[in-house]
Amino acid sequence: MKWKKKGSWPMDSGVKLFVAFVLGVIPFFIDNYFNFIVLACYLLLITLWFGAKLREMMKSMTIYMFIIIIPYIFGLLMASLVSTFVQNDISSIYSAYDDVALRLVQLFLLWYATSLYFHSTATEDVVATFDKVLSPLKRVGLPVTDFLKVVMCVIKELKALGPGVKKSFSESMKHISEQSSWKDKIKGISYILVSFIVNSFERLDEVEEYVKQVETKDLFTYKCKISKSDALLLMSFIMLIGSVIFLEIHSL
Amino acid sequence: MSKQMSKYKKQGIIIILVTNAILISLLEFFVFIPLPIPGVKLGLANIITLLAIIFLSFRSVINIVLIRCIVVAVLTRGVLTLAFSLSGGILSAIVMWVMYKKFSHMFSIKGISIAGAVVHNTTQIFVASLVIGQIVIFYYLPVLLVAAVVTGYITGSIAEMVIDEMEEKGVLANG
Repeated sequence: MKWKKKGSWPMDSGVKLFVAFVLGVIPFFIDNYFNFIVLACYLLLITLWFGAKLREMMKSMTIYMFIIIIPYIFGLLMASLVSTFVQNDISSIYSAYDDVALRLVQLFLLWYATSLYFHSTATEDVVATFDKVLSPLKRVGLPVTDFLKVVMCVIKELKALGPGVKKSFSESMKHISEQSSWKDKIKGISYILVSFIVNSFERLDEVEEYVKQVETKDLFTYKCKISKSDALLLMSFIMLIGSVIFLEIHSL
Repeated sequence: MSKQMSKYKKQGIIIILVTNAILISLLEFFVFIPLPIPGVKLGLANIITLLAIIFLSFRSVINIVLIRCIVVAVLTRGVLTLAFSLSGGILSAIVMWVMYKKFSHMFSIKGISIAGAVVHNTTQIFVASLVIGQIVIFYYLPVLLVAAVVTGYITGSIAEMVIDEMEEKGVLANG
């Protein structure tokens, strides 16, 4: 999500990345359950502060469900089913419930903190920050900037072509949807894809020319600018860390 | 990809292929595969990986998978899923590359595509089990393997058609 045209809370993407990273990692180092509540409250607070849309963030949560939660629940059900037939002791699986629940909460908070960063920072700023963060790799000869330049070109291409292609796909699919079977749909998709992919290479010279002409600094540049908002964020963040450490020490 | 090909042309080809991989995934919203399994997708982007394996160098293939996973993660803001898509994407690309370059006399494009889908899904389950520290998650693997055979066959069939058309029209012929 972009800032509302340099809205009320423009912040340095590097500072935000640092805060989001630490917030995502903290859950793996805390034991006190009260700390999880404190952390969750702080994350909610900065979600409002950053201006990220909670609903949009929750949408990207579905993939987490499909990759981890559903296979895990399915696995538990199958383990129970198998144990009724082979008289296996599955108490070890169920006794791990607490550990798994804790791990899922930790993963959720890591996902939330990183999503928050991406949902409140313009793509150009994200790429520019990564270029800066990954600069040690440049020193060992890895072409990080070239790589990120290609990433940024792909994003620009997607932004330029995406709406048109989506419209053209949905129009092409309208004709196919009238046919009933999924086999026909697959066949229809095949024809659409063949011409789409083959025709896309007609733009190769144009894309090549663009890559040749465009300067990296035109695509992304990172300049550290600490504003009042950043200072406020860092202060609240230090206070949070202090509270978390205090609670951890006193829970021992 | 030939050594004579300029750096910019290589980058141009990679940009077009990655853009295509992401755009053709949009088509997946329009079609339901005949397997009602949560989270299972056709994986149309795999067609582009197959094309890259056939027409480009190994390095370009890995670059394409890497850039696609990063762009999707940045645009969909699903950074946590990057670990899953990268591990599955890169391992399946390596397996498909080896099968095509070393054993192409034994496997068709459809077979290579199925193998890629199987490796991709297995890797994802393996990473998920590592992440939550539970092997019980592997009970889901047979379900995903059945899905991989069906989706791999479909994407492999489409890839064969695209490859024939590209060879006929001489697209990437100098690759």
